[in-house]
Amino acid sequence: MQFRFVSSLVASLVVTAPFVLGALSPCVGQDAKGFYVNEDLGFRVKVPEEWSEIPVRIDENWIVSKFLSKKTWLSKSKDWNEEHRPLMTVIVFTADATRFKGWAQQQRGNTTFTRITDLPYRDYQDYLKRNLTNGYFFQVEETGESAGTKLHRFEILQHKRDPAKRLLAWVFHGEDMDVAVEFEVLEDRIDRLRAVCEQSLASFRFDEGGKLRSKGPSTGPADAALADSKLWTEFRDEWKKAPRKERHRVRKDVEERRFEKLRETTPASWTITESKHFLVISHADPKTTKRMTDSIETFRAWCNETLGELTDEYVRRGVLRICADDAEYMAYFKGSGDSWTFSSDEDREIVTYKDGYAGSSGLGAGELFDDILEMYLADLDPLLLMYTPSWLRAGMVDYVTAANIKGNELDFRVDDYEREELKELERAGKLKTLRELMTLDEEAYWKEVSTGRRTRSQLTNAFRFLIGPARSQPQLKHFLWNYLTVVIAVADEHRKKSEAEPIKVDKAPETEEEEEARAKKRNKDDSWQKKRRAIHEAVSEKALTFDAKTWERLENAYQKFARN
Amino acid sequence: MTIRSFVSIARRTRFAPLVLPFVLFGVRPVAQDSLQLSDGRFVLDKRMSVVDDGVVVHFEHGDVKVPKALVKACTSSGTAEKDDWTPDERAKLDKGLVPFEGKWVPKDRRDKELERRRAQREERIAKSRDLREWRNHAVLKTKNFEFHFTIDPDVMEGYAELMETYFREFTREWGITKPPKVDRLKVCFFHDEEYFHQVGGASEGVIGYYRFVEPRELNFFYDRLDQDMTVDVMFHETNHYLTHLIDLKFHYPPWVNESLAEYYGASQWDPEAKKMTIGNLQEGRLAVIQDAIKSDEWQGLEDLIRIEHGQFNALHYAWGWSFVHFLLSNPRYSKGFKSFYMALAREKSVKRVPYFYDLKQVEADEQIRVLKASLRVDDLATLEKEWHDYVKGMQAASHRGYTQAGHIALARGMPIKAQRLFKTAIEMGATDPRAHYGYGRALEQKGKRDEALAQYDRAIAIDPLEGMFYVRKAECLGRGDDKTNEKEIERLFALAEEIAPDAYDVMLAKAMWQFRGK
Repeated sequence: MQFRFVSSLVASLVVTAPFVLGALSPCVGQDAKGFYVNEDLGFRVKVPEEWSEIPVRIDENWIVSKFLSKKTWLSKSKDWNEEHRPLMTVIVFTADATRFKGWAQQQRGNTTFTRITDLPYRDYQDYLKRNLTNGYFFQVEETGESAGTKLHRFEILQHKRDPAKRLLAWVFHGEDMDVAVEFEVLEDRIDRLRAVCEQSLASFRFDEGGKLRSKGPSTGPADAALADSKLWTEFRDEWKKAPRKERHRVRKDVEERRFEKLRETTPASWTITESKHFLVISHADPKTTKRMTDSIETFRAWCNETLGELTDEYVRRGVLRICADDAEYMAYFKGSGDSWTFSSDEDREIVTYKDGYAGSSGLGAGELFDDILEMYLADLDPLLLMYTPSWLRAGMVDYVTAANIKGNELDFRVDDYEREELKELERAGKLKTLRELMTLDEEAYWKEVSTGRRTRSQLTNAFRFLIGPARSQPQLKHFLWNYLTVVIAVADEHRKKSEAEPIKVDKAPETEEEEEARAKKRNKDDSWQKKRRAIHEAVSEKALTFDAKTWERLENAYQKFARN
Repeated sequence: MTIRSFVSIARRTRFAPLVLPFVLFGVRPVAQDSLQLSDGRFVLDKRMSVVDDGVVVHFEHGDVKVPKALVKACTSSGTAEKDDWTPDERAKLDKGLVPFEGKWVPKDRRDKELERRRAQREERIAKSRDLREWRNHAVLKTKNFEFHFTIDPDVMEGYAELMETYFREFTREWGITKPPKVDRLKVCFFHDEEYFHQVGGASEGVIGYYRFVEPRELNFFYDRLDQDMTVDVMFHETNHYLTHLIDLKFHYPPWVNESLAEYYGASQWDPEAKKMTIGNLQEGRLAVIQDAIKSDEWQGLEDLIRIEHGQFNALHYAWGWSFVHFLLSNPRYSKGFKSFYMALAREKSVKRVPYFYDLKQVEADEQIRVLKASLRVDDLATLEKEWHDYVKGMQAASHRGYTQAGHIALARGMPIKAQRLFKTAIEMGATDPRAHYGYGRALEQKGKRDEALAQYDRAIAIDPLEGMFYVRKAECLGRGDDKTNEKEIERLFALAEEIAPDAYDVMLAKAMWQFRGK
């Protein structure tokens, strides 16, 4: 994404341009006769009986609806059971959407933003080319007609998938749009499924010959130049100058618009509830929904207690989506590949599904906490995600991921891996000191973790110590809060310094020897590694201001903790 | 004789040219023609005219002459009309006769014959085009391989013969016998890189692969601009299959597996003498090594051996190839290296550990032990020094090597060096349009606009149906303060889009040009 400034950005943060989300709002649900009806675009198609509607992600640019078979089919060709539930997808290519516009411009205040737009899909074949992986070819490719509408019939064999899959797709050609209705089935079950798929395909009808009303809805990539989240990531200084109230209002506005879109586009068979910090969209039973909602609220409360007021930013409410099962979960994520790059910073959705194996024990709740924590940190300050040293991030992530819910409380239990690996480290005499762990720079961290999990387990254990028993030491009572405050300060200082540095333009070489010398210099350029090390050292220096006695006390306490 | 010459012979002798080289009078070109190129491409539904030295395709934004050497078949036979008839000829024309293949015949008869021939060519072109769809692909079985392909069947026969000879020569040289239950290897050969990625399922950056678990198969593609590369990849990937036959349950470490495959990848084939020549230089790899050496970046031998599966990158390929080349070129080590290679899989005294599923591997320490024993060296450091000294003496010798080196220099931001390398390649007889294209890019980067334009024109003359050549020419014309070329620039971009309507890089380049213009 590129930005061009016509003039400097005025600290006016009123959103002047209309908010743009990828695809238009699909007309959800089926009518009484089982037809999926899209009134905006003007077409309908019968959905096979007992196939349930899968919500389309609100950032999706091309797919307008999806339906999943309730029946599971087993592949015949494997030695073990390979399950699959057929999926129906409707993809729309309007004439306007398929036209490459080159760039998009948007005015905000006194500044014009320009972005080279994504290359749109030109048609269904192009869509396949850029979305299908694993190897495929067209088994059938022919023209035809159905109820007076010209169409192309395709059968695509994904022969390199294991098990192989077949796509049956008819692309209906309307005056202003092509609509592709696609079924994905197991290749070795096509004999049983062809009839039901083709019956559905043959039911397709345009309302008005596939003609769009003037200035009607369209699909295709976002044509806005600037996502709202760029305000507080790319234009940080101006953002920070705005009053707190204004900054909160802007973010709440972004949040509410996304919530509104979610409410509009959620199928009727899903429930929507709101808890204190989340919009919960569920296709699971009420008991599971309540249990999961309570879990994440409990964790969110922990985040507030541990990290709240680290900055004065508004931490947006999130979205929890609970799918009925893993097949629905996978189908939900199926989308066109270009859909999420534009506004991914604004996505606050966590998706999960009802997992029969975990039951209602509260085990596995931690799987959601990592994402919640990441979104929380990002909203507190985006610099936290980029600059928090990996030693701390890794420890923190594993600490929360291993947590369970016991009653209404978070139980930050010790993971079995962590326990076993610490024992192994102790046996091998390779337990690191606390100071070694807390000063582990990025290069050393990645080198350590590339050879195994043990360092990571020890980092988790160290984090557990720092946020637990270590807090009895006065200097560490608010360790995490203090450390992250330093991270933000150092990162911000580094950012300002980098932005103020004049861009160095080397004199262009005039001989081969000068070219060789420049290439050699560039090869050996480790300036970014030096900068990263400098940031890490600055953070350690400012955050770990313990005298020798304190370190000694901490080390002794930690070594005892690690061995227990 | 290289494989390129062999393929040229195949084209000349194995089919009759389907382009009629004579000039016809009084026949208007048919509105929509089809053109089949010898490199496997097609141009469809454009008006075309046959001329002495090729076929002119009449695009909306300009005429493009496709040289005769690139033309395999064309449905058009029409050219310009003649005006200067003699009185005698006029009299015949007035009687309704027309000249046709040296005689004067009724117009209807001539037109009917032309239409019949045109329909025949159209059918042949359509069949060839259909073959490019995987659902219609052809199958050719030989003694050891089953080829599934979408390339020209005439070209396929040549490659099939080459692979069978390779199988015979390699298994004999290395003492390998195909296990009795192993059937023919399935080989999928695609007509271009894009189709290879789509149907073969390989990710970007992969140019060929051998699948070593069931169902075993080999996949690669025909590179129309670099047939030597096609043969290179074929030799390389087939080598993986051939060495797999040593022991189907053994997985060789990447450094020796890939390096030996690269060594054989540089093999050349003489179809007349039916002889394979091994031990040639991988000049592209050599260029990479020479660049690394200039930056004092030498690959350590022990580090190379210890590289894990998945970590072996392009630089390691280059160094690994040079190490195997050093060993197999040295009488002191060549036999020992072959023993080492066989011993890893077969020798009972070698310690093997599980790798994946039911496959075994040998760990690095054990590899080093066996290597030292097989080569009869006490330490790797001495061997490493000998190897590095050997590499210092290697020099590129062919225009292909210089072209590859030129592209590498350009990619590394060294247009002055690139200019020298491309110029040398061209002076040595490079006919690859990309040598001229690369040279043009290097010249343009150093502000030599007119020279750059001349090189782009040379590239276009050799391959006039490559969209990006027109894009680069357009961008080059747009440099500087001269604004008189705007119309021509616009035409070139439009022509590029017509020639390559599916090329994303052409679309993006045009968008950027339009954006800059605003």
